[in-house]
Amino acid sequence: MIEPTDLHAYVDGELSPEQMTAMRSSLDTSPVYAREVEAIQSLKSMLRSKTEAPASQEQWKSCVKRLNDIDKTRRTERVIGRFAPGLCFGLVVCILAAGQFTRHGHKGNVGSSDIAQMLSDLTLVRSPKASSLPFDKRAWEKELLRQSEISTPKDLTIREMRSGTFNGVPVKEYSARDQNGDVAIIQIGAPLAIDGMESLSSGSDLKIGSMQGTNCVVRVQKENTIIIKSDRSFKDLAEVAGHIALR
Amino acid sequence: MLFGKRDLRESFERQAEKVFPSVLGTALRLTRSREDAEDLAQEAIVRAYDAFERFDGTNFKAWMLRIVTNLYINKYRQRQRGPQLGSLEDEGAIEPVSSDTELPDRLLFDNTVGSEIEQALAKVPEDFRMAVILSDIEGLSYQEIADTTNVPIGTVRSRLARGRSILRKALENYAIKEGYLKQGAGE
Repeated sequence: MIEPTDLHAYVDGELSPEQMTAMRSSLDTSPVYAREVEAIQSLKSMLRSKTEAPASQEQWKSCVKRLNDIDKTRRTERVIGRFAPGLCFGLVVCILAAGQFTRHGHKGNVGSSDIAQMLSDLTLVRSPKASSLPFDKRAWEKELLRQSEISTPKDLTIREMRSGTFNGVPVKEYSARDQNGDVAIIQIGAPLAIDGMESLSSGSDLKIGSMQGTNCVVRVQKENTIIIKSDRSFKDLAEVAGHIALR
Repeated sequence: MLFGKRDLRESFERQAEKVFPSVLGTALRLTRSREDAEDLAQEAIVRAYDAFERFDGTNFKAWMLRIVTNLYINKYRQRQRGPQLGSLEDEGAIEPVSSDTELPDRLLFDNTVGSEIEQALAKVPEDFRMAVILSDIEGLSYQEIADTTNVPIGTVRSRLARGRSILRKALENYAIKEGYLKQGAGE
């Protein structure tokens, strides 16, 4: 009895030399198996000779096109991959430069919190009230006005003055009062553009806005920034600002 | 790297173009759909190109057919309809078709044309068909078929024997229907 799989393996030449010899002997004595071998050989031969490969030229062209696309993508990826560290580095440099520009390059641009920081370390110019000398309030106000660098409207008196520097920039804060109440005047020795401020009107050099919830008017004059702060209308503040000038 | 990028592409294209008819033919005989076969063949080419640097350089055709077959098994098989793998009992039921009376195989096979063979082949359950295609049409060895289909050689032997047997039956039935053979000639 010959295993059918062995007959197929014999036809396919997949038996060992010894098995091939043994199979040939068996087939010589068994016409049934010999016919089966012949049938398998005929089938194999028919499959090989009568089956055709399908037309594939057009399909192959599509494959080549697809391979071209893949190559193009790979080339692009390689170029990007090669220059990616440089591009990333450039981007980081740009971001840092932009940050520096925002912080320092564009010197005037500050926020109201920066102004508050500038005012935090000012020193009060002491009045003789604190000393044992007889205190003349009016004379002291005149003295403060003399020490200040601003001229004020006649009805505005300077009651206190604080001064100092911030990053080398001289800063002064005057506490003043007129018939309408208290006014804070801040003088910074640099021209600043303060975030959130808008022009009072077209053509006006006055900017209006709010700092820590208090209305203020800003004017840049002689490379100095003057800020007038008070709980008043912008119109009133603008009027006060119109009378304040740097000496 | 053995090849530059350009050499790699040229080498791949040269070899792939030669075996592409086999790739497409096998894909067509597995999927039995021209559209699916074209998709499968193209995807196989792309996969092969991606993996070409890892090709061991021995038998490109067998390697390509392995990719096609695996791709078919993983992606297309679920979608296919028609005869699937027979049971283990079927697989074991391999019997010689020839009987004591002389079977006119030669007459049958001589009169059969390619389209009839393809139709009969399509009726063979898939895994048996795969073995027959790879062996008898594409000329792979048992070991290469075992590698391609990820089964032991013993399974390849039995699938091949069973597949050929079913194919012969299908061809005989077709020949009887068409009048090439008389009823009972193949019994």
